[in-house]
Amino acid sequence: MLEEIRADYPVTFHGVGLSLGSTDPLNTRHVARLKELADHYQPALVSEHLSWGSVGGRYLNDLLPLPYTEEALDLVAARVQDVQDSLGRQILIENVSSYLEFQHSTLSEWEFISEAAGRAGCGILLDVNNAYVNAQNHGFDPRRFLDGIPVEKVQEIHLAGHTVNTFEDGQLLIDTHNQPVCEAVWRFYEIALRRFGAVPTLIEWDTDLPDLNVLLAEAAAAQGFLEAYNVWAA
Amino acid sequence: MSGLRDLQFRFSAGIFDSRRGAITEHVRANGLTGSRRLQVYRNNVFTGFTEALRAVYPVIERLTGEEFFRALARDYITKTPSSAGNLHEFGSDFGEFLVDYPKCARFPYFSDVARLEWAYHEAYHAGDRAPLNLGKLAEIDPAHYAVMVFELHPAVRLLRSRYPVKRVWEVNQPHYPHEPVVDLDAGEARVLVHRPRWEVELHSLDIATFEFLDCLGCGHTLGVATDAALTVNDNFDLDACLITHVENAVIVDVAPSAVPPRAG
Repeated sequence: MLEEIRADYPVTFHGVGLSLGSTDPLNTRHVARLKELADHYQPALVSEHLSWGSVGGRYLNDLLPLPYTEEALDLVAARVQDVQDSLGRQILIENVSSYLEFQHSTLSEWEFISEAAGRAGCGILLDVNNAYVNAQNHGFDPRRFLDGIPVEKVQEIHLAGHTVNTFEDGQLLIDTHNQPVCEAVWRFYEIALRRFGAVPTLIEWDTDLPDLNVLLAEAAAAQGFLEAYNVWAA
Repeated sequence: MSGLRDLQFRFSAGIFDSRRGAITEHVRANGLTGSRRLQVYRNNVFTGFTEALRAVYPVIERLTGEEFFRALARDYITKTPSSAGNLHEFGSDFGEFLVDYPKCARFPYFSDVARLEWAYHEAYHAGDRAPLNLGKLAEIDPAHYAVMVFELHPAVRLLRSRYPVKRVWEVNQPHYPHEPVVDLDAGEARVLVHRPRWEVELHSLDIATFEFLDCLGCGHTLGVATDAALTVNDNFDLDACLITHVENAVIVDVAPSAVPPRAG
């Protein structure tokens, strides 16, 4: 089926399982299978998250947060290079939603991802929702995130809906991909477009799927912002 | 051991065993406590695995009930480390797990139902293959027939059970129109699970056809497979069986084999 889709449309690949930030050896079986797929389908872009998901051979199959340290930076930059060498192509790394920060981080998240992308020679997939979620969860101005990302690195943007979880001691936004993009994220997307240009945008909605016309309306809304940017930029 | 590696081991331990993994000291409290923040990851990880199991094992969930299934999933997840970044590979031995799961001891057929659901899942995600052109069979020198080796479609799975698992599966589908009644003593099931194109199909096979396809799937020659089928049914119709399973893309390729694989 993917072959038929690929014949009519451009396709991008987006991974969740490479565990780029793990201290385990790179999973060569996973990389080899990805290469097989990428060689066969020739996607326009291949992306993966800047997170870890396995240690000691055990996978948690989740996008777990890294400390933003020189040690982690060295590790992910080398691993992204390894992946790119194996695939024979550039990949994009994506900023993830996170629900905690480590005390011993010495860099901001935007410094970390920018430096990793610079050292590895990869691109960046900017998830506007994730940046917004993290700004709320960790208490920073989301515009600082955008301003810290080099314009020329961003080749794709993601949008998604999140959920607000309220606890006795406060709130956390959780990246759930199960509802419409919220108003604040649309506004933030608009700011991102003004900085990064009309970058190809994907809306992630993969849980509690609504009717197709709801999804089409979300896509049309994003398209509206892209076209408005083009008018503005002209 | 590096700082990051140690941190990752302790993080992982803290996810699967909330009493362990004192990494909260490394977490910025910043409004919410470190343990609250870790709890979000614990929930996400368990929810992710549980949803993966629910997607693969809807019949088991229906048989056990939703609440029981969640507790069962939690026990399985804790005891079964995921070994791949591809979540579709998680849950492969859920059927084995059910064999020894004390709370399901009264339902010995659960494990085979789970194996059938895993076969369905594998069939769904297996690669595509074009059907074999029957003309290719006609080109083969009859002298080679006995040593021919066939290739089955990558989505083909063959499953045998002492319980009528296909019937259990069918009556537990969401829109089954009748009373979901199954006679568990109805006899053995031999099921072909297949996805020739978009949809996964389940077919009941007679014993000879099952033996025949099982032999071919193991790489045995047509001669060996035919003997196996004839051993259990003198009237096994080889021509009809071959044509049926070429036409429905169970058999997708053929190669005359100079050296037949060892029997076994």
